[in-house]
Amino acid sequence: MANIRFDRVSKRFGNQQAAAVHDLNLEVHDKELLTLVGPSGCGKSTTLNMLAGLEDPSEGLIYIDERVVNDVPPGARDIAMVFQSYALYPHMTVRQNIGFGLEVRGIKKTEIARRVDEAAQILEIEPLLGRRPKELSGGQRQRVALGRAITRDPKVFLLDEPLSNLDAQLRTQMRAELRLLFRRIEGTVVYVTHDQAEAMTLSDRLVVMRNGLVQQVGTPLEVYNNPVNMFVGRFLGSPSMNMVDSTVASLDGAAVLQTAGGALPVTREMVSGDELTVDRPLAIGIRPEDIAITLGHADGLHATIEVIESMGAANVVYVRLGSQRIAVTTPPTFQAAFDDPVSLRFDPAMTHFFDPQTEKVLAS
Amino acid sequence: MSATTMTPVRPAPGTPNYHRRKQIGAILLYLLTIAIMIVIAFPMYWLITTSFKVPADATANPPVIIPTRFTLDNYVNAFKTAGVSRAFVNSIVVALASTFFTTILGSMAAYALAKSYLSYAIRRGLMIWILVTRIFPPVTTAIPYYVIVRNLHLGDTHTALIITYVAYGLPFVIWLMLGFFQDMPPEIEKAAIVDGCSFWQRFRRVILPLALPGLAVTSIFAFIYSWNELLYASMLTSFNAKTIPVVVSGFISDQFLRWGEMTAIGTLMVIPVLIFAAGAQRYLVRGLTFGAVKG
Amino acid sequence: MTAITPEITQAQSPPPVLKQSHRGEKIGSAIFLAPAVAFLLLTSVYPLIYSLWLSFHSWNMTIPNSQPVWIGTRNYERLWDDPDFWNSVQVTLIFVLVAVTVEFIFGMGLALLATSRIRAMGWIRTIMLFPLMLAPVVAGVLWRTLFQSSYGVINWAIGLVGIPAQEWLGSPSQALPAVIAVEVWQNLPVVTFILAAGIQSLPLDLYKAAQVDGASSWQIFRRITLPLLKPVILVLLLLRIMDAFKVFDIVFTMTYGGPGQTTELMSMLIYKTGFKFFQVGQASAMSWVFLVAIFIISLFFIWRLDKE
Repeated sequence: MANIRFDRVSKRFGNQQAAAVHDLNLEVHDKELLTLVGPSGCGKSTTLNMLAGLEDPSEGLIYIDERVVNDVPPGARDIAMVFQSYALYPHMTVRQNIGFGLEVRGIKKTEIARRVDEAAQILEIEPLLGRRPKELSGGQRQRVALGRAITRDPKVFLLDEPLSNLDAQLRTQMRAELRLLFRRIEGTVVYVTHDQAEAMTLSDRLVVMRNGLVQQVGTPLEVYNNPVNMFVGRFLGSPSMNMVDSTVASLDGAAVLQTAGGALPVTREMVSGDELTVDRPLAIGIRPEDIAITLGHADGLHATIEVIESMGAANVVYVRLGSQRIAVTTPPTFQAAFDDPVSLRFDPAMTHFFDPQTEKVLAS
Repeated sequence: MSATTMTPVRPAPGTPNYHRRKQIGAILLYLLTIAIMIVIAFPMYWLITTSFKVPADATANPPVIIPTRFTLDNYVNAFKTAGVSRAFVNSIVVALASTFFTTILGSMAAYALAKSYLSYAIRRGLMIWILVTRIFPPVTTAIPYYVIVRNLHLGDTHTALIITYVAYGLPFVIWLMLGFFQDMPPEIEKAAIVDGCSFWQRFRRVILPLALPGLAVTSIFAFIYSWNELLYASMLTSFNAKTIPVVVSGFISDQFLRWGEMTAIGTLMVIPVLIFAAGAQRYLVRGLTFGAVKG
Repeated sequence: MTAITPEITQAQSPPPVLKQSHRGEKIGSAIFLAPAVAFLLLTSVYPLIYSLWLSFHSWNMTIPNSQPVWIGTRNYERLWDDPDFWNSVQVTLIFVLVAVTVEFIFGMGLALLATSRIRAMGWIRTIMLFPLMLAPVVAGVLWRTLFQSSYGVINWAIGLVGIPAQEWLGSPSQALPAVIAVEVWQNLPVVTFILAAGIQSLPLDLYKAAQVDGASSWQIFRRITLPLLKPVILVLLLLRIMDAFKVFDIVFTMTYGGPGQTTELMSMLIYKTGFKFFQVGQASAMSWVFLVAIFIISLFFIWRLDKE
């Protein structure tokens, strides 16, 4: 049972003006895997360190199970942490590494041995128990670091970019294994990553952060499909969401937005009429997979082909729309030459409208 | 002007001239290097060979560069000289004891300074102060040391020398160990904190074992300093606690008569340094630069 | 559950920060630091202050039960008119400047050599360890025998190429160069090792780029190696100059400041004044002038280093 709550937590370093984390209010539910995701410097690692007790919040309270832990040293918070560099103790064997946290807590040797064996079995690293960290591969070290965490059976697991030191293939494989592992041991996990794909695939819920501020909290699909602002829209998904510049041209019947590639009619279901005034600039957010592309100038916005990147299962087509470059995902069969004219049609259900000034999404 | 716009004055590559000049240059360079290396190595060669020479060869004119007759008499005679074996024992005791205390006190202080739990101002102030004590020439505190040691009735004792060498070794050990501690990945220590280690447990169980190579190197430098030190040893000791450097410096008044013994003692003095230097080679530059260049 | 946006709380001010949980860490740090700091206070600060106090006194230690007598700044005033003192200042400055310059030039050459063409780097390294391993006192005594005028190896060696035997340590004009030569011999490896380490840490790609650009060896050295090595060079010069000011053993064993006072370095003069003539106050005053001078010189270097 573990519930975590951040209550108006802020963190300022030294005498810096900008807060690394600003007024954070967040709840982590029991047995959920919550991901903090954002670009470097967004405050996600600071948040994790504060939860671990490695940094003190400048303001606000942190609760674990309704108990304020601001004053509790890290060792007494009943947390376990996996670091990006794994931080295995080089002078200890794998067995000693995994058991060290228990040993420090004065647990009996036989009990330690039993729990280390159990963790090793779960992670399939039994043959490695006698080795030292430098004799292990990256993936094996990763498992030992996980073993060190799960053997403690803590209230909360904190994972700080645990996969980013692995090569691409292993990372994808470990991603799936991590998901299974934590489901199996029913752990409450706070996971920090800068990799949006990791956040999307692993999380029960994710928290997108930027410049010390929480941008959006929700399940991966919620956030992916309903970004609250342009940053979240662009940050999740690859290639990222296109933002097409436009202005409101007329409001007779259906609204019409003028873009560099022509006019785009907008229905009332897509954006609330209150938001629309003539000449107001709008950013149209549309994901590459929500655009239909046809050769030649037909219905839709007119653009020209720039580059086609073949990804095997799909193509990513970059087209020029006025001075902007737009990415479109197409089936691999789509072929065209440089400068060929094309027409783009946006899926109305998947089109988002943002205010380019405030970057916020417009109500629909 | 950028380097690219300069026209090279040397012959262009590919011309025969270019290769010949390059070869001659290389040969001259090799010869010069060999000459310098001979000058650099010769005193050590001379020290060791002379220690095995028979008296006639040791002071022969012209000098015997490559000896053909060898003897161990110089070593035997050296140890027959009053006070020499005692001086060796003194040197070993003083060097080991001062190394021990310097390393322990210094690495503990360095660990505290490497962590950020004390305010930045305190740590920076301490570090500058420690650096400054390293800059002072030992001779400038020789007189107060002499008077203080005399007033405490510690003259001619191991204690006085050990205290002096710890004082002079501490800044060095602190700076060097600070570098080693700061080089350690911070996540290791964080992991230990999360694992529930106290300050002492962390130092004892995680940090110190990891810093062991650094600690070994640092203590080697501290040992060599104490082992070789002359000024304070000659000032603070007279008979009971006299160390080997003082004995060696005493040979200068005896002129050529006892070269054999002097070189024998000198050779013996090099042995521990030689053994240790082999161990510290990798960190040599770091030690020589007070940790400033990590080499 | 729906997505929430951050701008919710304003009205209530955030709760105050609780006391930090680092008390144990602070106490631990203090306990670890205390012994070394206390020891250094007693063994380096107290003696320095005591020495300052002595420098305003006149005291001949050899007279039993004599006490230091306050004489104000007389010791310092006397220094001003003391030819021995000024001679020593001159000798010390020449010694430090020449020794460090020669060490630097030769050391840079050897470092460049060692890091470039010569395959025998391992050998050079081993050989260059020799001078470092000899205790300065042994080196001094040993070189004294090598410089010996009648049967020393050096006179024999220059005789091979037809140069007549020299007085060396007995000659007022040759003694200082000889002492400097030994200082250079002993510390050339230090300079070489440090510069070589510095050069090896420079990014190799830069050299490839410069070669592709067609730069000559000299241009590469002048325009790439030297500027990039500047921080290392400054540290090196600072350390070498400070250590050259400290030199005692070599002079003590080779010349004892002679012949006359031609090799009387400041450390030698202070030693003699204090322990041969037992003018404790006078020697302390010299020590303090020496200290302040060195301090100013090192401040200059540290300031330059800080700028880098």
